[in-house]
Amino acid sequence: MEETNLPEEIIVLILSWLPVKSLLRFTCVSKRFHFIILSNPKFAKSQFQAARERKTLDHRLLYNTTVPPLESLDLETLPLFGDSSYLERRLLYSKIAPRLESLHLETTSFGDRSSVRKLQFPFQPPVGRLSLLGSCNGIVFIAFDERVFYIWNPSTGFFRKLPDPGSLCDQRFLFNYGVGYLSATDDYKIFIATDVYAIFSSRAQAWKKLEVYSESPPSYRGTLLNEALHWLNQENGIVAFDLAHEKFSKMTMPNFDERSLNQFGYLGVSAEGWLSFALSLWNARDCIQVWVMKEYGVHDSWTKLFNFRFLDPPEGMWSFSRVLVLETSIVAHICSMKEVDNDCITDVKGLIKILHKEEEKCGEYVIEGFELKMIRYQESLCRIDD
Amino acid sequence: MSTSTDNNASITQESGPSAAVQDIQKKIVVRTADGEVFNLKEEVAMEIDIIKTFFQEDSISYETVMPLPNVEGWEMVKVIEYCTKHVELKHKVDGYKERKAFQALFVQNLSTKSLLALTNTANYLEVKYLLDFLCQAVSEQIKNKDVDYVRELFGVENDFNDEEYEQVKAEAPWAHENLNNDLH
Repeated sequence: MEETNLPEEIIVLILSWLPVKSLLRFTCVSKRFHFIILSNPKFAKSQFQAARERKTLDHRLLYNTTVPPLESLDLETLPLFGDSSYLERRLLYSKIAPRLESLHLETTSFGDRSSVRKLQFPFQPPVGRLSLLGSCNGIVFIAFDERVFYIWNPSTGFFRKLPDPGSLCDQRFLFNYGVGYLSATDDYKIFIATDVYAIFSSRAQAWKKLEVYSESPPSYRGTLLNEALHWLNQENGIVAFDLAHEKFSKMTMPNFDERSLNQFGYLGVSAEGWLSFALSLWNARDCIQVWVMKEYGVHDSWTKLFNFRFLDPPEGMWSFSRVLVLETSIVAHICSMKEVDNDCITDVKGLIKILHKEEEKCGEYVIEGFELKMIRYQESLCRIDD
Repeated sequence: MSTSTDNNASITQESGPSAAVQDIQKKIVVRTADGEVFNLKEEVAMEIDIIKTFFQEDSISYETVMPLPNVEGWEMVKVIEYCTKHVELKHKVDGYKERKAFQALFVQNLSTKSLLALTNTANYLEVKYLLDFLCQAVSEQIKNKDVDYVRELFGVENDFNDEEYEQVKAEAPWAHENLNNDLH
């Protein structure tokens, strides 16, 4: 048969195999192509699901650094404490422009400059602290100043301001949060905890207060697995919140050694879809253990996957300040610390990526800036409409 | 001029007095646009839904030669090749590697335009798994190509004016950079 005059459904089939970058380029082919690619939510969904099944999704890291507000520089008292380089450094930070960028997570060399994209919010971002609440199907959920909520697809630029949670969000601090997607009802849900718990549903286009109670407040961004959000709590346990049934449940952590010592721990999801837990102990700061729960909810199925030793740590005092536990790697934000009088000042060093299967870290990416926030997302054409 | 092409022919004849004896392998005959005639094994022919419908559902006698005026001879050869392999692999437990190797060879000497023509044919003949595979193969070939290439391939006219084009391009300028390689 002729290769031109292809029926449109065949063109759509061919397009649905393409990655997001190619598709966005081909929106320039013609108005019809632009329409097929960007104006059909079914196409976006099927492209994303097919790529997920074939494991060809492009995973990217979105990160943001801010500029410290000038008021935080105590210009009068600081020089008295001897280390003028501290003041210099803070002044230097205030000159560094804030950044919003993304990089590809699976380049052979981590932080390959060619994979970095400078981004801009396609809307005027409100002033105030930024919180990256979660990402689902390529859409990133953001809170500004703890109370103004936006959704944004960094690949296509789609964005929407979400309704105001009103009195549900009077408290000035989001203690913890998370986002998930319920495929059965095609519903995106945002969970936030201030002094109350609240949920936003994209189906309902509204916030509502939760009349549930959880024993100890979990911390920061929840890890999504099996349509539930998971956090570590203060009693060395795991709290799970089922987004469909809107119920809390508990699970236990693995029996790692020296549980009583202070440590950092982070949750993630392994490549096999198991809940994973990365841990570093105070007395072994250059080591990270990774455990996986091979059977969901079964304590005895916790298995230590590996113990990674950082062969080339930064000089002096350093710590991981943010850690993302991904399917086949860990991306960690490293800060080195310096003592100025009795204050510990953190100096952002950069990101490192550690592959689960290798003994050595696989890459370092230096980022200058203040207060780095990061989140992983996938490239997609998805959007959430009214 | 029509030629008779036997693909995977294996005609067995029973010796015996009965005139109504049946071949162990039933054959179905089709004729393509260029007049070529193909004898297909029944099990292969039944992979092609348009043929299956013609003979089974419409109860047409197997002696009829089915015309396929939209299909070229070379395309029929390729379709038969793919369906025969598919049937063969159906009975194998672990045919994954073999299928992948076969698929790589199958598309090796086909230009993108030929692939597209074959895709159109697979759609017309209604062979779903072949259609899926060919769509994937085409997408692999065009993945890193530029806008002009895609227009030319699909025979699509540019209906953007210069200003509109720049506007659309500005929606994702990074999508137009670093083509023809694996950088992201």
